[in-house]
Amino acid sequence: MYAKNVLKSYPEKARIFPEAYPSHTNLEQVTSKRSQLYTDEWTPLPNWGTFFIELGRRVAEWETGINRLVVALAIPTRAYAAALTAFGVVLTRATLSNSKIEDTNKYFERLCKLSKGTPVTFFNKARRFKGFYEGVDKSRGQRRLRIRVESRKTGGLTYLVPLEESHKIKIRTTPIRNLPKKQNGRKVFAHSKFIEDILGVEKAKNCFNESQVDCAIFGKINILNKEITQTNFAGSPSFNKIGVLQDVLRVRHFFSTDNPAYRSEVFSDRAKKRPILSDGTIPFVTIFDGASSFIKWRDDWRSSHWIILLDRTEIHFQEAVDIVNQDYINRVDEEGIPNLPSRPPGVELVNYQEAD
Amino acid sequence: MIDMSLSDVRKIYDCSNRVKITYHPVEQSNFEYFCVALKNFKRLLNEAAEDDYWRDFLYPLRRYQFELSAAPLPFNTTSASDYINLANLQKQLSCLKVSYPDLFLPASRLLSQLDILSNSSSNPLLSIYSSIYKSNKQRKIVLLLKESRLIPPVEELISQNNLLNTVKVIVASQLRSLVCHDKVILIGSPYWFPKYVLTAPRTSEIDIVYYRWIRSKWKDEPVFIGSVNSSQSPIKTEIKNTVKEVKPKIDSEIIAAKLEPTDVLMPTIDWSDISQKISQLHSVNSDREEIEAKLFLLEGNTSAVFLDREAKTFVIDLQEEVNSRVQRISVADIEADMFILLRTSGGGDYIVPVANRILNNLGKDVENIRNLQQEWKGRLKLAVKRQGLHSVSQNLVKQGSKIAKNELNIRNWMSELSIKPRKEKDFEAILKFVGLGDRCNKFYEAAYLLDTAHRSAGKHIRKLLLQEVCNADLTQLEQLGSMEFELEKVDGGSMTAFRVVDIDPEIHNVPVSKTAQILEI
Repeated sequence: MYAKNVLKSYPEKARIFPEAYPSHTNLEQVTSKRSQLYTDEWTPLPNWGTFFIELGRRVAEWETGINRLVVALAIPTRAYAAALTAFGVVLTRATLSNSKIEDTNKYFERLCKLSKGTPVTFFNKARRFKGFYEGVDKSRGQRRLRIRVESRKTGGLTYLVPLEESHKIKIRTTPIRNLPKKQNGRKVFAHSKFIEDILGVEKAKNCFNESQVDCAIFGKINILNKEITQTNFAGSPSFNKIGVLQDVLRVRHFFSTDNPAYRSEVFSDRAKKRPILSDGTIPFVTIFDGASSFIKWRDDWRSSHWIILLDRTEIHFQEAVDIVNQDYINRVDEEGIPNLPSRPPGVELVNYQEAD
Repeated sequence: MIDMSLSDVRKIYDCSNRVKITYHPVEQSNFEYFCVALKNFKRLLNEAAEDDYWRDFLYPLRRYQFELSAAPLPFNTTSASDYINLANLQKQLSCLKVSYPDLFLPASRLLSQLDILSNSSSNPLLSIYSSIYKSNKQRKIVLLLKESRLIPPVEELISQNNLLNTVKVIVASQLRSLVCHDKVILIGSPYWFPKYVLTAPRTSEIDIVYYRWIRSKWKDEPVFIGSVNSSQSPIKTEIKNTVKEVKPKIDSEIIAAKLEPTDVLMPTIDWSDISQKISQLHSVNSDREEIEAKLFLLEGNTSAVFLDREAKTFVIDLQEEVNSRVQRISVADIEADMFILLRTSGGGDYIVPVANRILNNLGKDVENIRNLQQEWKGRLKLAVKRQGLHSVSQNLVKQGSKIAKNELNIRNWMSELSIKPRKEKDFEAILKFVGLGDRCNKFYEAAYLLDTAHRSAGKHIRKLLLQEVCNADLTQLEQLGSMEFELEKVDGGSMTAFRVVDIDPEIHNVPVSKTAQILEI
């Protein structure tokens, strides 16, 4: 799928960053507030960390139209850069997709207009069911959506979903062949207090119900695993709602339980085969964690936005820089992301648009 | 890269923020005269400087110039005796008088200057280094050298000085980790080192001790042509005054010249020269099985190794976590700065003796198994020799092996390094073709047992190596570029890890027996 098609698929998710804040807003202050994490009870994540989170957010908010965005950075160390950038990407993508639940009436009306038999996912009591939309029920003087979750042979269990709960229904992009005779539903991931702290309770409830790959990282899996699943962070200085980046990133590879909703994926920089996402899509943003990853896998997923993190101490650093410089010469538009946050010392950055 | 914590990363960004470079230019008129005279002599020779004769004449002089500029060693250092033979040079000089009369005078001046220097115990780089150290006693200071091979003589020298013996001597690749130091003292021109030493510093203080006549002022330049303008301030720099010494009367024109950093560096690797030298080491025998191999230059620049480009080999990757550091990877995936593990006692591949032992322990007749293996491979090789590869390929296809169309596959099947074709129908086609079709099952069984034993041997060795590597202090490996690992449980010796300095882009045809062997060049 091309980037422009990805954007078309989620038209309500794309927005231009400057529109999100009035012009008089101090962007540096906004950045430090919305992307600030804490590493212990007293210590905020320093500017370098906030920078990477904010970079991920800005790329995730970017609307390029027909082109895709490339952001390449030369950094003093690769440590935590990809993990924090991906955190920013997924956080923003999750929040943007959540914005649609704010207009419940509009969403309810859209569901009412669906054809009977449209496959949907229905969330109920912390479980996820697959089902078919079966039209509108008007009994008891109230319009309710009919969602059938079991086979007709066993009675065809159907839920009646009122307007205020319509956000529990998601339209599936993949078809359903048959419904089971009995369906208990799959357990839905219980969000952590850490996410609540960052997104607020209401948004946290609905953010991560569905699987989609917002971000893919090419790098060293064992090191990324440590950074993403074993380092504690908090969204506020009290540090009483501790979490790990995985709570938001939801890297499919790092889940130990079966089949929870995921939002990102990691691939080894030494993989032998071309990486393919299980749903056949491409990620919204691809992060290359290191020169080797970029050199080896740059021909894949040329349709997604790229964030290239090049550790200056890497053996292939210069080779990767030369490729970026060559691509920069062939760019379609010089204009990249405006108002980027101040770069930390030792970080150099180039950003441009490339034809899809 | 391992055991990284957020506080380690914070220190690195702090270093980038606060880094300050202090230059310590050093003067030494005799050495300056020697260096500039050497440059002028090369200029006189022009292109002829690359001829074998002049290269041999210049090599010890260039090496002396480089080592004395790149390490705090006295001019009369004993390590120079490894490569400088003054008597020999004088002999060459006397020949010059007849064959190149115009070059005799400058060459004799050069050698007499070398003679003066080699009798001097002066060590100006060490003096400056000592004075820096004395004013920073309580701090974590490291001394950064360009070459691993310069570390042992420098360590020996500073071990004799009670004041300095706590100092750690390192090479640039050790500054790729997340460990930060209070101060890094760099010897020589910063242009000799990878850029990350200055652009991703692991210290907030870099002191550059260098000879004044070698261009050494670092200029930081953006790496991306479209870099977004930087708002950060440039690196802070300071130049310290150094002790001036009385200059002897030297031609003022010579003194005015400045040397570029590359003028002092040893020449870059000449792969054609190396492969020529290596090919002279073994006589070519057309009966020997040849394979396509890659040539790797090992730490120290004096040894190299051929590895079958289709094979796998053990490497240590210090960028990986402890449990993943020992890996068996394709030769094609080996990169410079990785450490190749080679068997340094017992010779050849380590897998074979271990696999034999595994088969013995299982009560199998190892000799018979290996003989069966030799039998079908021998017949296949003979057929190729008599009929040619193309004809054998066609015959194998007729016998039912589709992939025999690709002649490279037949080469692999003939190689001692491969055990059997992956698919049974290809193996059957070979056996039928070489007239062993009536005993197929025997050959299948032998090949299966060998394959299983080799795989087990590979896993076993990796486990032992991993244990050794996990328990070892790898500082020596990082610092000196090689380290020996004793595998006590395995018969037949030890393995040594060598840093790969460079990789020849060409592919070579070499006898199998010459692969995985360390070759002196």
